[in-house]
Amino acid sequence: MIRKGRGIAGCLYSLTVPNAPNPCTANVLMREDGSVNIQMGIVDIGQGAQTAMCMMAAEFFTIPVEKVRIYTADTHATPYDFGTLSSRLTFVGGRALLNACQQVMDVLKSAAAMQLHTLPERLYCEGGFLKDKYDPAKMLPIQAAAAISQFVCRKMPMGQGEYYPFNVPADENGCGEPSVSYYYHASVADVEVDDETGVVTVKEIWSAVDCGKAINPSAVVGQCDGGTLQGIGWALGEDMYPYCTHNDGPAPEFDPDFRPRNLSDYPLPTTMDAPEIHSMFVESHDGEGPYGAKAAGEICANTAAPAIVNAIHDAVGVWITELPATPDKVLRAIREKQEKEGA
Amino acid sequence: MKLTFFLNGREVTCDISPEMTLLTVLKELLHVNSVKRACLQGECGACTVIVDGDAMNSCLILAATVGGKHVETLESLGDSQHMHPLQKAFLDTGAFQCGFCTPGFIMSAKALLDKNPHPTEEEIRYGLSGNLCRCTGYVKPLEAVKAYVAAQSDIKVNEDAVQAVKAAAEQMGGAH
Amino acid sequence: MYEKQDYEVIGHSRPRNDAPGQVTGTVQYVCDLHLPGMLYAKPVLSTEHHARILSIDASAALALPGVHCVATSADAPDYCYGVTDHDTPCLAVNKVRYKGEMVACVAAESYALACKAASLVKVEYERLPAVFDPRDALKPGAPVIHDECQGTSYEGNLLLAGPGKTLKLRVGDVDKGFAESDVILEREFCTNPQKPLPIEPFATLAAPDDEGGLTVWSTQQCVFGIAEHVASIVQLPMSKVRMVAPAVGGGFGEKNQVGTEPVTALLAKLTNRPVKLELTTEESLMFTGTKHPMYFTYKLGAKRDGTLVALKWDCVTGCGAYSSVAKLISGKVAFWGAGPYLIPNQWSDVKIACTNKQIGSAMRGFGMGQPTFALEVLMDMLAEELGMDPLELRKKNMFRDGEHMSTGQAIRASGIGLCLDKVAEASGWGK
Repeated sequence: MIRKGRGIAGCLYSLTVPNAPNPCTANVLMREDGSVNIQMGIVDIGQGAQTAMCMMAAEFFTIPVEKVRIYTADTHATPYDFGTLSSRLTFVGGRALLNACQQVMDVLKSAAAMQLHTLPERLYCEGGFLKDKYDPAKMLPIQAAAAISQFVCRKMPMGQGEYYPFNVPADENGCGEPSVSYYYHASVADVEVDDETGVVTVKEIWSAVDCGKAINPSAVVGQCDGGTLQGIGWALGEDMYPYCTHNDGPAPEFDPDFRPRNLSDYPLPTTMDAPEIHSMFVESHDGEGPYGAKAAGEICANTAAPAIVNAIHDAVGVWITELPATPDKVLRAIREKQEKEGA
Repeated sequence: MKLTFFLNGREVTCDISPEMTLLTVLKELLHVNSVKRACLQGECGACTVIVDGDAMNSCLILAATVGGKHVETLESLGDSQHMHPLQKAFLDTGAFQCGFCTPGFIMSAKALLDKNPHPTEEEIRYGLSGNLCRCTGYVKPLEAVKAYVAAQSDIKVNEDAVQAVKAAAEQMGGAH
Repeated sequence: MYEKQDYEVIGHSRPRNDAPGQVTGTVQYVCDLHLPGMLYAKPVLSTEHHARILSIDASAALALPGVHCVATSADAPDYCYGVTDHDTPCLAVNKVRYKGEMVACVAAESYALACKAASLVKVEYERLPAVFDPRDALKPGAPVIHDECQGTSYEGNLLLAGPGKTLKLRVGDVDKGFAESDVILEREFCTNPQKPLPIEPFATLAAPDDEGGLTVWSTQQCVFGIAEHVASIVQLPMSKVRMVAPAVGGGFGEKNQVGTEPVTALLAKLTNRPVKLELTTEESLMFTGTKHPMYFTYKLGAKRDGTLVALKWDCVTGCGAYSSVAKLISGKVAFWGAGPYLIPNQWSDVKIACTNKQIGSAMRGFGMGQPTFALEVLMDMLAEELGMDPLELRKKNMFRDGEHMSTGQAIRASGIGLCLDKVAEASGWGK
């Protein structure tokens, strides 16, 4: 008989690498046509860090994103970055980038002030122009400021920004400030459990990440989608050293050679397995991150498994305390429960 | 041995050994960029190409068997200036993250849609089940194909409407 | 930083900046890179879990025309890499510690030829007793996996971490906390080694340049960190090793540690030719890392009204054959095993044990997935015990701004309540 259940789970994650220095450096240059080149040592492995950087620079200079190019991940041509890990790129990279952008802006303002016969500190950037706070008549397109700086002042509008995430390494009792910021995630899973076969099917799952300000909402949702399916895979079967199990036979036994050798053995979810995933985000206000951003990558894989296991309990009243919740394990637990209740 | 086949409509001839797979020919000899090499066991779908209308894992086909046949890779659909609407649908929905599986996904979707222009959700899922993706949870790739199908249906509906109006006009003309 | 009310660009969804290239197939990954004169590499992986290498006979492989090199540890300098402990050789030295460890690597004119040559490399092993369960690995009499780093990195199979050999958290008085609790639950949990498994397997292309240096293109999450290890393996200054990551086909943690880079660089140096090593998915499954399996005992004390009072957790992390990121992962388990909940008394002890399973690597969720599983299931067990709604129990104890988390750090911008409310509302929780 198919039984339905629902479960919930929450999680926190320390963004940036805890207890360790993990800085990032960014080079930013504005060309004479107002386009921007960014050089960073970061690696985009699909999460969309390059796009996020381009968007932040475009926001900063009030220019279209299409005018920003980024060059990454080359130890001889890009400045240092610690690496794509621990949900740190948007946060740490973004801070470094904005520090560099600020330096470029200072150069542009000096050039514009000279041209407009005003003072750099009176200028602000809006809609692609540098404008005088006190004299609305004085304004200059940002690319004109870049061209003047390059061709008249002979100073390239360049900047190099660094960011070193603050941390106080934890002492021997675990006391300290190991991480500069934290972000959160929660899931609700709806499952169906076949109590005759032990097969668990995730029907729907709701997944919400607290990413701070979402720089690129579609990328945040994408992180949530993918992380959630990885979490489901972890919960229901992905295992590099699975136990050998026998239907109605002896107890499961461990055989180190019983290892998946290919993707037919290894139950990576396919389009046929993926449930309806409802990904969402919430935006807490941290104040530390670039434009208020936190992170979205790592955490999304963490709450699906406990939410599913809690949903299994809701459905059939058994606790699965050893992952993954494979059919044989679930069925054995159901039978044990039935025997106990019968006895 | 010599192998002659049609790659994206163009006749190509290359010198192969009998044990070479189509993937080896496409990657090692012809340097086709869009086709990806990964599992070599027909499991991940990253090397999917269309051979005479059918989506196939090029890592499983002996190159010698495609003599005279038409092999299509993602390059045949369109470049960044002239995108096929299916490519546009993947782009607009953001249906990829790392992008490694994307060429295979688009080719499988193309083969499916060429045969079945109005697939149901279940048919789309089945048609793409040979393509594995680890980034997206399949949410957006499925959305992309559905969006494409819906857009094509809209066009079809519009064409139907135009035809109906024309027919009506002709009838009215006939009545005069 | 720079926050404001209205944004022109931020917060407005847009496709990735490489989207046109992705949908038209022009983006280049390592498998799309070709250089003139490039050789193809094929690894020889260990078929034993734990064994002494008696001999490696590559003569039949080298006799094949077009085979340029079969690299073994004899060709590599005496250098071990690692994230916290340098215990991992580029190619197995004297013994293998897991099935799938790289023992040798062939470079040949074509991939097919490299495969044939690799199958002809004969490795003679003397099988040693192996241990797979990290809890067994810590028992007296367990076979010792790392003989060399005893006292420095390991004590038996215990990977030495933290001042007292294990990683700890001590907050408040956990015994007093349990004494004050109305309900105490103690349960064991364990988690499985999932594979990160990006669809693009590990791949590296290394090419000698004109100035005696090397350029290494690799599907890598951390180019700077890995360049250090590559430089040490090929015995060049870092200034002569250029590491580039072209498009990377996913990583999820698997690719933020050393993979195929050192051996490919070594082959390029030995042959003075560009060499490309692309693992197959099968090789990737055997050779690269997994999520760390963890074995927990969690004990939770609470008041009848659901207020959490004390939490104690013991964990054994299985790091597999080499240390890699095990200490960093386990540190997270030790510090944040109480999740996003306010609990005045906490006590943790996390041990790391080396086994003959494949290496534990970073994987998405890094050290938080495992304790989250244990704690969140335990929370539901407590909710059942107390007859409370699981959501209500969580909201009663969740982080509140201005309070302090386990490490003593002040909590600000806690989003856990927002996340719980969001999913509860969207799913119609309780309806």
